[in-house]
Amino acid sequence: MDSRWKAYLYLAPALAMFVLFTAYPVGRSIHMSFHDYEFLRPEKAKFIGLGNYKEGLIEDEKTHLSLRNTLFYTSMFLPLYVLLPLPIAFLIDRLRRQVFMRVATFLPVVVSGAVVAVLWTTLYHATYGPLTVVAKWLTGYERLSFLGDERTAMPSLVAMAVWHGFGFNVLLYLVRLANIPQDLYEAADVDGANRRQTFQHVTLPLLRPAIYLVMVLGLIGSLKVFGPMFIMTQGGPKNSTLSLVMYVYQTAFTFGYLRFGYAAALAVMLAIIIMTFAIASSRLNRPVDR
Amino acid sequence: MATADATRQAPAFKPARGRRARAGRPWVTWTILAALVALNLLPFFWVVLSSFKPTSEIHTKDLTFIPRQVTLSNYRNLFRNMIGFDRYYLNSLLVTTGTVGLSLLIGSLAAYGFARFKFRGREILFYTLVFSMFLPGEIALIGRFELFFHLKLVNKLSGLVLAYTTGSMALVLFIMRNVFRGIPQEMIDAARIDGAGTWQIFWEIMIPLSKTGLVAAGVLTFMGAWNEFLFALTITWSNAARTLPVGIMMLRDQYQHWEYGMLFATVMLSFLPVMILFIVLQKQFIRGATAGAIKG
Repeated sequence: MDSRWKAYLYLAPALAMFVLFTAYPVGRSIHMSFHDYEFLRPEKAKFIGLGNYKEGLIEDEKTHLSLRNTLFYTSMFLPLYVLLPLPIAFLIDRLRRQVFMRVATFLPVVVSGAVVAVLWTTLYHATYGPLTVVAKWLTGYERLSFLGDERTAMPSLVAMAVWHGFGFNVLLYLVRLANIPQDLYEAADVDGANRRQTFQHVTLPLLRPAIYLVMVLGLIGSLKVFGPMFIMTQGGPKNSTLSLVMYVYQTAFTFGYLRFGYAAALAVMLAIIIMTFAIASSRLNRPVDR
Repeated sequence: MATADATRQAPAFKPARGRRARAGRPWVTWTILAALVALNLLPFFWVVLSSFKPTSEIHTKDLTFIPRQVTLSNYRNLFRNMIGFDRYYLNSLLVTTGTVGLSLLIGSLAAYGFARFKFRGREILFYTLVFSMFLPGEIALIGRFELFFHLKLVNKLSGLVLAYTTGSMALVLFIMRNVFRGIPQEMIDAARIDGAGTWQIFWEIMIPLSKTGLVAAGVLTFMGAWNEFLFALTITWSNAARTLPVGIMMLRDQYQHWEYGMLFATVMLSFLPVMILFIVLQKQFIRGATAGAIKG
């Protein structure tokens, strides 16, 4: 048969796109990361080996700060993101008609992150924002400013992100719950299991893959967080919401003559962190028994 | 890899009677859920209601939720003096449509190649492409910016379409290869005996039989392209190419001091059409969004 060369014909567009727009740029980013290279002064570029990595890992305080901020964000975001939707999914799962609840919880998910961020800027507005007004009334603290105070800025961004992702996770859990074979429940019933035992030995183990999925997606997403900070706080106040990706962006597109080499090194390190987490958690996800 | 089956045979919201029969106290459930829905949607109601308030009612410490006075002036001002909003919208629409079309085409073609042909290096190639899906985009960002700059693809809608297509075609490929593999061999053999070539088989058998999978992949691609922010921010710097996620931030910066009412109208018009689209197509949306997640 003539199938071999024909197969390559079908693959050609995808492969060409991949090589040109993914493989080459990734390779070029890595290559740049070993150079002292500023985009607007390409003639001054020179090879400096691991110099950028050394600067990022050891010398640059701001990298450390942005890494700490990102981990702080992740540590607040991830538990809420994974756990809050669980009880709601259990409740909705009991309903006979779920369409309304599914749509109502999912609605925020279809709105783009940037629009959500702008929307929440108005909610958090220090004078006219309803959240601020209510919180001032509750606490009596008149100087409250959610995004303007370094103690509340990051938690405020977390609250928004948890709200935005909530419906998606409820849905993932629901799909998984609905996929649990009915006969398992019946078997548990026959064996005289009570509701808690059924939950513990049937529902939870079978829901585990969905929980892991949400965890991994949430972890990766929160390590890459950028939009909320860029739109709502510009990394402030006092750099308290400067995330890693935001720092990469600033380094590449606003600092000096656009420090592409150093930014690329930071991006490579970020990618290594993310891949390590992703691979580590995929090992956790091995099904124990089916 | 049950993904294909999952996308093909409608997921899984069959009511499971036994479990539901146990549910006691529906009142409690409904109260909690109603409160949840209200909380979940409150930010949107706030924007919708505020967009009908006159500026004087917005710029006051005396906060109202339901407007005391209803006016359309915010919308009138917005439409009279667009400063880019319509352009951003159109750009987003064009970029998203282009990306969905191109990704589905390129991804399906490749999926067909992987699903229906045997050749050397097939597995390695497939996993290389799928693996690229898991690579954090940030590592490509700077190299890609430089490349796009030299290829003169910056500040252009076509540049965004190419970048987004590259990003989402691996996912299309992954979904569609499984879908194509599920199509019975007999149908293909029958077509071949009737004299159909591989190209004809692709268009007349594979594609028509894979509509559900295509919709799922399309929805995922749509959401990715419609919402993308970081790359759009870096390679666009004029209204001719800015998409809505980037543009709305620019508008916020212009409106936030004196024309808060127009900002509300802008935000409202940014989310409403997508929401309506979602409500109309909710089945396809939800199936698509969870396509990769349903396993086993």
